[in-house]
Amino acid sequence: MKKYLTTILVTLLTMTALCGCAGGTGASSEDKPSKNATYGGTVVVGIQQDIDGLDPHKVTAAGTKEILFNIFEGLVKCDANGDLTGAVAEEYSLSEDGLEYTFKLRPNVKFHNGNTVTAEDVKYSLERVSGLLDGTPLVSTMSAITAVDIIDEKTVRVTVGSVNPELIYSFTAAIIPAGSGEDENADPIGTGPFRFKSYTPQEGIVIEKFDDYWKKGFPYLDEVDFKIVGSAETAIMELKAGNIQIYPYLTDSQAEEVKSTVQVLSAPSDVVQALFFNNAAEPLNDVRVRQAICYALNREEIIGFVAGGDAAIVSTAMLPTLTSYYEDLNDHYGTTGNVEEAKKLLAEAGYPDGFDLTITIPSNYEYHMQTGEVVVEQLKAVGINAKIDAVEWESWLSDVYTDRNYQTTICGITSDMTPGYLLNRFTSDNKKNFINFNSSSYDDIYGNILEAKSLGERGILYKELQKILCDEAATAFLQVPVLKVAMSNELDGYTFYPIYVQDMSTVYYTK
Amino acid sequence: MTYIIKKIATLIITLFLVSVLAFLAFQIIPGDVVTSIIGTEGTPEMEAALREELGLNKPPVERYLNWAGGVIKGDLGVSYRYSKSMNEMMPVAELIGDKLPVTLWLALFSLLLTIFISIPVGILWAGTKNKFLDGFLNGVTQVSMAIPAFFLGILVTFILGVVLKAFIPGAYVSYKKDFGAFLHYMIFPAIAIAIPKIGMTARFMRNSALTEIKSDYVRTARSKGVEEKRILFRHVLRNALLPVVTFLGMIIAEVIAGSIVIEQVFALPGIGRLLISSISTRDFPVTQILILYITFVVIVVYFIVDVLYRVLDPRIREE
Amino acid sequence: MINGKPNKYLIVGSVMTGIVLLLALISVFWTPYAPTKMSASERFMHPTFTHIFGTDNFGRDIFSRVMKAIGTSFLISVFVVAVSGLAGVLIGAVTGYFGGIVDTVVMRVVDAVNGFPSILLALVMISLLGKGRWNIVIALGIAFTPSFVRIVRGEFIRLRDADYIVRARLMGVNSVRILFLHILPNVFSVFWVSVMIGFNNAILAESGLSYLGIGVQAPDATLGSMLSDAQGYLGTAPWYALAPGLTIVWMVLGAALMGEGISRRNAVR
Repeated sequence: MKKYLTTILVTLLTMTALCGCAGGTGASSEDKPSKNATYGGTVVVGIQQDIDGLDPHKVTAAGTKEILFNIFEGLVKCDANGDLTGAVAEEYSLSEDGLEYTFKLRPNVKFHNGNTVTAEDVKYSLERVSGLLDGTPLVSTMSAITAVDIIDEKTVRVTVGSVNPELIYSFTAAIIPAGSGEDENADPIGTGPFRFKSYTPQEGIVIEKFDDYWKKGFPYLDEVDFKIVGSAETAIMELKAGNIQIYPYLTDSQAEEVKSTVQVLSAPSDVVQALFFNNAAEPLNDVRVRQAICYALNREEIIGFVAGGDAAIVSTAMLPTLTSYYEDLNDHYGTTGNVEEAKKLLAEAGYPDGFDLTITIPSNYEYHMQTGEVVVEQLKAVGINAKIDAVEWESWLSDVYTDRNYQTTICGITSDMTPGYLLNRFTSDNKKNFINFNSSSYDDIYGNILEAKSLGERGILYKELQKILCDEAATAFLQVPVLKVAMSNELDGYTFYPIYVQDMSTVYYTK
Repeated sequence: MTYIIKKIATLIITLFLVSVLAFLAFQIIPGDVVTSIIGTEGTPEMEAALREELGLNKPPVERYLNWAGGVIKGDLGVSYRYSKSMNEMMPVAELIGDKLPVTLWLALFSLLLTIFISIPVGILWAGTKNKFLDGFLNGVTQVSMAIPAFFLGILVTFILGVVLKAFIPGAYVSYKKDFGAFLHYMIFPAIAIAIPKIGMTARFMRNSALTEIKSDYVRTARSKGVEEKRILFRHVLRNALLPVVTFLGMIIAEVIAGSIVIEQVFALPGIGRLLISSISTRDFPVTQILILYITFVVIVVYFIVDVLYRVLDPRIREE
Repeated sequence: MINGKPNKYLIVGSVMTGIVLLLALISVFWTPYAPTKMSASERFMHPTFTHIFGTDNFGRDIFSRVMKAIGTSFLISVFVVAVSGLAGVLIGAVTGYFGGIVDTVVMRVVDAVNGFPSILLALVMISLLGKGRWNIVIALGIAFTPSFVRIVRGEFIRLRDADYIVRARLMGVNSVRILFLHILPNVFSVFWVSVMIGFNNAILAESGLSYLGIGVQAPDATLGSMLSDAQGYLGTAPWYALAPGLTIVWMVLGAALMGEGISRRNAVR
């Protein structure tokens, strides 16, 4: 029931800026099988929630996508460095005007049913996600596609209606056999390193090695059993007993508890956690009140309590790992709390004695709940009497996210590694702008970004957006937590991605 | 015969009432399955398509009637959330059929534990003259009844799992995969469920036996010089058991309907856990059938208890 | 059995309950530490003389939190039992004594509520009434009413044909008088036992709701919410779970012993 920071947003596969120039297969380090590896074996991975479906185009939960990553592949695929590499497509090129993508398929890529991937399958898959098939786009960015044409049996041309330098990331959408999206009894069939074996609701999903995977030498393991754990507590006990080998969602205190028995690997996550303000609600519609709260929060102390100090403090909606875009604004409000400044601003705003504040938090996220408890305590010091309103996730979705009926909330927003993804949600008319942030200068600058051609130009504008968010105290940004993965000592090869996936194809038992 | 027909009629009325209540409940609580599936990323078109697909764009009354009509025809519907294959959702009947054995085995185990421990303990307790033993049993049963199931689950996990390492908490094995390992794991949650029931039943058994001990026939037997043990196990036990049977009936109902908490603590994929997750994911078809099922079991068990009561208590029978 | 002697059950039960209530009362004015005071340097301290129940993941003093939580849990449970017990007596008495169509209808509704998961019921009530502990009391009160109705009704059915009641009826005593003056006192011995069970279940149900995150609002703690928070640290800080857990056992045991004592005293009389 308690989830550690799985994300609130669905992650699309993308990363650093890759403009519309021709891409190809970059040979990265993990393309060659490791010398220390053995083949075979079964690994049990503890997962925290049930999957929300088996259709790769329709699932939305991050917890499902991280598993299906092993079964399905798109024309292109994200690698561990955050670059796009060819998967079902060997290479692609983009026309001068940016409206035509030509994909050249990799020869002899096999589906799990043994058939070779054809241009027909690619056309079908792209038409399915773009809505050309039945009018409902399954991946919203893909609705830009106006036509998919088969040039020859190994070449497909995709025409789009408008230029979007970041669209190429959406071609990570799964390629499935033509017609399989309508076939009633179809097992999920993809081209990934593992094939689907079985799924039992509330228990888990099992995948097995696909022998004809196009990337030779992968995967190592014969079978991976994604097992739904009862709770974080029982997961730890199973981990210690050797009943599960990988558990990717450790909290700081759990990591301490298990590190003597298993390896603990860590990497920055793709989640920005914040105390989000409803900018339209009293008294948060006053910028001084929002700024006062930003000053009041001692973020060093927060990450000390909830993450053992192991997290990156941020003051804006950007991941520090996106170095070309990230603007470090932590000095603006300070990271250790400034009670005097906060009180001063509150007094100016007409609240010298503070006010009552409700923080709505989805209770299944233990991490956010704990953060909330620290925040309440810190706000008390400046006279703000805060209460936590713990709600079910579904209530949160409907009341806070959709209806925007709340004062403040603590949650995380997930990046997809394109800088625009984290920032575009704060434009005033964006559907995802659940904090009701409304700044015309922000909207204008965001509009300019869409026009901007060069990378450097976009970078400067993205930084300006971050400054506005920080100055206006649109939200009290807190931290980018760290992902902590527990893995049995017998295993190696676990790869972190800049996006949220569990790539099992590189994991192996050591000699 | 008319009694049974009357009972069946009331059963049907109750089930109808429950289904209406559950349907209303789903209209009232915030969030529905569409917001839940779409999450934070959906487009209005996807939302509309999904609503259409699930038939949620129809007026509530029509939806209820469609659902009820299906159930009457034996079609329990399909889950909104659980997939069977890539393009097909899991039929509710299949889903529940898959999870029910877990709960039934849990109920059976805890019932067996309760019967085999509480009845001998209860009767021996009634017969004992040892003050210390009497006080001890009194204390232990009182304490056992005072521990909430939630905490008891944690205690069993901690003592048997963490300290004594008798089992690995959470390491549930499906009954389809390895039945032996399944049964082994089930013992521990069954213990957690059984402890308070053992306390209750032992006390009940003791009181029932004490009443019998004071009765004329026991006094007669004693005066005839029949051995005390023989009196206890031959005469008293048989007569004292009857009320206990009805008591156990209620315990069955309680266990089948009430293993929700224990299933959560021990990560058992039974119907209790399914109910909780279905409510939180707003999976109406699954929730509805589970609620009806639980109501059905409770009513039927109470009905049996009622019949036994009538058989046992002549005053009620005369009516 | 214990005729003539002072009633041990009542004494022990009252003392146990008294201690708990005293702690709750004291906590209104004073606790050893501020119950929400966090301290980064004092996380997960096992019980010592400075922190007799240890500290939790925020370095808060568990004993102080338990003291506060007792009051909250106690109030909620008492009110839940009061609401459902009162409703149970009224409905059970009328339906059990008179029977007939009212009985049939009411019992169907009672059955329906009985089968209804109390968590769903609580979600509905919270959506209708909003959050807050009084709404939790109402939600749980409704959920608990059927079991009281059932017990009280059973007793009224049993007693309505008892000789002294039949005689009273023949003498023309009016129904209300018979119900509440002649039968009700005799129902109490059985009723008390179920009150104590209900009290136990109320604490449990409240903790179940807290576990699902729809209970009392943080940073206020109830014993149930502390227990569910503590579950995550069973391996590293078992005392965190044991403190609220054993407190619940203590409270319920105290109440149960009092109930037992009362029913025994009634039996002796």
